[in-house]
Amino acid sequence: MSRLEISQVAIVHDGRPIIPSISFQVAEASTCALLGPSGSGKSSLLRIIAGIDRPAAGHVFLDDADITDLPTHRRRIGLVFQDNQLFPHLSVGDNVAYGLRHNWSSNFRRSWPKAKVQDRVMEMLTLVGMADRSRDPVGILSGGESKRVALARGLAPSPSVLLLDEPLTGLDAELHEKLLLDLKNILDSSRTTCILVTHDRDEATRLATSIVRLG
Amino acid sequence: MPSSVDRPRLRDRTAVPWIAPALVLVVAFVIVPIVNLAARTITSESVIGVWRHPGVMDAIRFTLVETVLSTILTVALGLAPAWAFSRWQFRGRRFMLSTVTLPFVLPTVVVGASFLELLPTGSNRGLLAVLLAHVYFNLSVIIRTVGPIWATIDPMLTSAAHTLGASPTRSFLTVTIPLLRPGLMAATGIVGFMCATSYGIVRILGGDNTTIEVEIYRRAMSFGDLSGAATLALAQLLVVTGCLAAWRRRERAVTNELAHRGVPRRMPRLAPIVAAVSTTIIAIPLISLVISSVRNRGRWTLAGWRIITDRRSIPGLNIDLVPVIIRSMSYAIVATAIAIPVGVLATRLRASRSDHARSAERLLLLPLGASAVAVGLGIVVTYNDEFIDLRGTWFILPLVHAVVALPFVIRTIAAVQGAIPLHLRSAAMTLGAPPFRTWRTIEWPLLLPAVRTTAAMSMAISLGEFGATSLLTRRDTDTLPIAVDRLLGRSGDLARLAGLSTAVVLLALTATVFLTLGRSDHGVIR
Repeated sequence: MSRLEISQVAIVHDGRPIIPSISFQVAEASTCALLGPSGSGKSSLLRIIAGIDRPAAGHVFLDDADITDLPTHRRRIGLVFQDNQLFPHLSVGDNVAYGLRHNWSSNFRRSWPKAKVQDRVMEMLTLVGMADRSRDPVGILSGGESKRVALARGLAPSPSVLLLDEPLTGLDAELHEKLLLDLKNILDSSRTTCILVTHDRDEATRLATSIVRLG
Repeated sequence: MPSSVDRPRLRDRTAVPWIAPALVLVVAFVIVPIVNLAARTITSESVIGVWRHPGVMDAIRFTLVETVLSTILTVALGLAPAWAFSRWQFRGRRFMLSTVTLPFVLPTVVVGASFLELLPTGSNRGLLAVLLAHVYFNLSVIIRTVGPIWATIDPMLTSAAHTLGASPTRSFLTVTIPLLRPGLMAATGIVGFMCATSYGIVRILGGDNTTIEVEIYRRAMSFGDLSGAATLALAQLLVVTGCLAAWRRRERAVTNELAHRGVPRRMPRLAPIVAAVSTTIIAIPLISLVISSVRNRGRWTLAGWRIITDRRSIPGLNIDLVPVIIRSMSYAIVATAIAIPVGVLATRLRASRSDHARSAERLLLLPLGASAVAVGLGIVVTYNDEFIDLRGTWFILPLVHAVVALPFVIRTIAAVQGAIPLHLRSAAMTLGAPPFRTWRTIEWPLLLPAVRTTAAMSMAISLGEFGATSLLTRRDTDTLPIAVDRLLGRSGDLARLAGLSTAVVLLALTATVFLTLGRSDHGVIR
């Protein structure tokens, strides 16, 4: 559980300012929703917090430490991508285990000794209701199943902050409602600090404890 | 990735006419000559006895060592430029990509002559020189085979690995490399095969070392041991085609070239630097060759150029360049005019997925595994009697060149054809277009860039073909590579300068054909 602070971050694309300056804080174990229309810079801001992109100006703090220049793999910030980005050459279980096995940053590695990786994978897959699909290739999963696996993968290494980029977009109404309830339960039970990007006001209200409007 | 439902199924009956011309060429100019050579010359003594010659065992050992080392080096050095060219757009990219692709189609004698001049005396003949030339020659295979697959990997996948704590090295090893596996497997197979059957490079740069291919030539031409040469050729054919077949089974399906290329990201400063350095390294031996043709013992001279352009007859150096150029270009045009239509027709076979179709396809790729020297020898033995005297005809060389180019044509066009979505054909047919009109108006325009590339490749292969040509040519039918080899094989500064000048002419012709006709952005060498 950690506290995240965005301080005067500016986003510029091809010389065009997308977000001139934005500042907000996310408290420990809470969920903050970034709400705004397409092109308002929500996903760009998420990539900056994850360290994939750099801000034109401003800083990102995690537990009062400036992480603006820290490489992505050392931030301990997880990201569930809008299009999931499951590794196509790995099974469901291996995707979830990736963050436990394949990182060299000491914080993660010490947390997950080899013997406990499998237990953690099953714990996460059970949490998202996919415990019986561990050996399946990810290529055969439906849209909703892929979202669940991506969520389990993001949660598995117990990141300090979890970023969710439109996690419920593109699902049919029934699945959307079911996953929304599941997601709320998962976030509440794991007590993960979370930033959620969405353009759906109802989704933001039901999942988040605070809302930041963009655009 | 295209699935099985994306392919139309043709019945075998409809596939046969398409592949008939290609089958006839491969059977007549690869299978029959080699089988006939083997049947006429191989005896039980030669099958056992040939392996006792120390030269043969040395050739096998050297072939294995240089193949493994050349392949590892080529893959290791080719990955960085493959990354730079496939993932990023930068100023001069197209020109640089054309330049780094050029060596693959350069005649082996040109590359051999370049390295002979570039490397210091003493180290310009031997294993090191062969390794460097092989890396140089095959670097573009990695760029052109791994690159298109790299371009389809969404960069966000590595970002996903980073968000899970993987360092850049770790994400490269655990995400990028496994996803590149189909391209790496295909490229390693091609490079390994090219190095294992290397002939021209080893003959010029090998020094005392020989590959099996060179040993076949030596046994036949230097020792008159046709029986031993045929035994080696047959053994090489079996081993190489066996290895190629086993390797292909491990390859995964072709990644769709038209697939998602990922969101654009800020280009690392390293990308254009890697591209520029690769281009410079590729250009150095070629520039060195041009300079060497006008320098002798520390002085500038045009003596070599005068010999090949003045049409004066100097004893031992009587080369008349203009007819040789015209002959080489004519052969290249005829070979391409045969290889392209035959190859395009044969790729229709890919549409049929039956066992018969697969067997026929393997047969069409046989020229890849056959020793060019053995094919030449086989043709001399088979078609050089009172009934059929093909060796005396002008068209035997372009025909053989077309057969050598055929597997490259088929693989390149088939890869692009496989990437055309079935839905496009279905859409045309639902709009009332009959099959031929669908092919002419939908498939053909999409295949055209690959056809241009393969036409350039076929012309370059014909211009530079050395193995079979060295056995089939006569003094009055010399091609440019044979003239280069003949001149460089003589002693004396004048012969060397004339040979290097002829090599520059060959380089200029091949480069012009490839860079003007071949569009480097299209076609996948697979």
